[in-house]
Amino acid sequence: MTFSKEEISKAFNEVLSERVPAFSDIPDHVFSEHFEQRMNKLIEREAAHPWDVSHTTTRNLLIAALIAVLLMILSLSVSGIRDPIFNFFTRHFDTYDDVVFDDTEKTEIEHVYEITALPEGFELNQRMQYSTYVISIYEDKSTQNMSLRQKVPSPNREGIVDNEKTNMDSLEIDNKIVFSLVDKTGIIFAWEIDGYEFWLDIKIMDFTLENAIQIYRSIK
Amino acid sequence: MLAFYLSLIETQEDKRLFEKIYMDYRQNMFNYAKKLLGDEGYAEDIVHDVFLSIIKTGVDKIQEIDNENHLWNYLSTAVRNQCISFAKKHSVHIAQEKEYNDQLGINLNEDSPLQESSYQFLVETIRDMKPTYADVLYFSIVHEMNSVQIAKLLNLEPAAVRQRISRGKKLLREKLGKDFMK
Repeated sequence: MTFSKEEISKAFNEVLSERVPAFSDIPDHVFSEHFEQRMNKLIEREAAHPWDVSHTTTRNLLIAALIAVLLMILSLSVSGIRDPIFNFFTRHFDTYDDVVFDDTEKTEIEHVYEITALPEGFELNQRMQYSTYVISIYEDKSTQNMSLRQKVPSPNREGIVDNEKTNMDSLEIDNKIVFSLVDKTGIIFAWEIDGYEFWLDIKIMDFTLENAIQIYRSIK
Repeated sequence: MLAFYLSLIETQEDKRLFEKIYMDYRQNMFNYAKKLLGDEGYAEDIVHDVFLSIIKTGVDKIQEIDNENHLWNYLSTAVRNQCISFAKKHSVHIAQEKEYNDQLGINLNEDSPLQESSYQFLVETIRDMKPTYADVLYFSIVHEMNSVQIAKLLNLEPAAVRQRISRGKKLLREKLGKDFMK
């Protein structure tokens, strides 16, 4: 007998499903403070700034592109625009630049930013709030969604930049530089303001850049 | 100073998925671990350890699962194996597999019914396997994880995982034929 991977996968899932009971009737457990603290640390670490973690080459290149654009734009922009965005210095090497960011004064979230002009049908679905990190997830009934992450920047932020790959773009919105990536999966904006990093991740069908800018402007 | 390579899109996806799994499944994961270990404190430790192991293994493995039941299979299998590893290391009683399956109304020793199809025979063969082998084969074949990844997820030694995969595949070959997988 010979089976395809799909058939074998289906069979494994069928058997495994039998082995685990349903827990729908059990009231929610109130997790201990110790557990919550440990999980908060874990989630905050996992939720750390994208350049705090190392994953695949593709991701490396994508974020490298973001920083490359950042460097290019900031090197060309006037100081009035540049100053509020990022503070950093660079060390140039043959094949890459080493970018070191200054620390901000913020040590914890003092004010939680929110999207105040949601698209029709959207509402806040989940919010996870920690001392240095908040994520708000907004969804509509069809589970199209967008998320807003607000984070106190990590200390000693540093990035190695591959300037050869740049498919990111930057926008100047209300005298602020916002880095963007628009592709078929959605729109991402990244910016830094008031000592916080922000990441707006929009996954809504047929959402235009102009729509995304309206969302960005409504964040208060 | 730390030197990092940089990431964006997939990492953002991973983060959101991780958070969603945490919010949606932590109660069920806790309930399952508590049912197996009988202790809330241990169960919380297991839930934490499974989430930690998911990060170590790579959230992108879960990203590939597009069915909630299958996702729960993935998580619950990780929970169960973490419970077994924990119980062995800490000499804690764990609800035995047979005892546990009896609770669920599953009799692993029952003769297989007349096979209606080769697929049904495959299901019965997997059902008859010891979970020790079936679980690692599940991660190896279905999720195409290597022994190191499986070891991290299930809190096992990579050598033990390799041995279980080898023995599990041998069992499948004996029952289904040496070319059981295309």
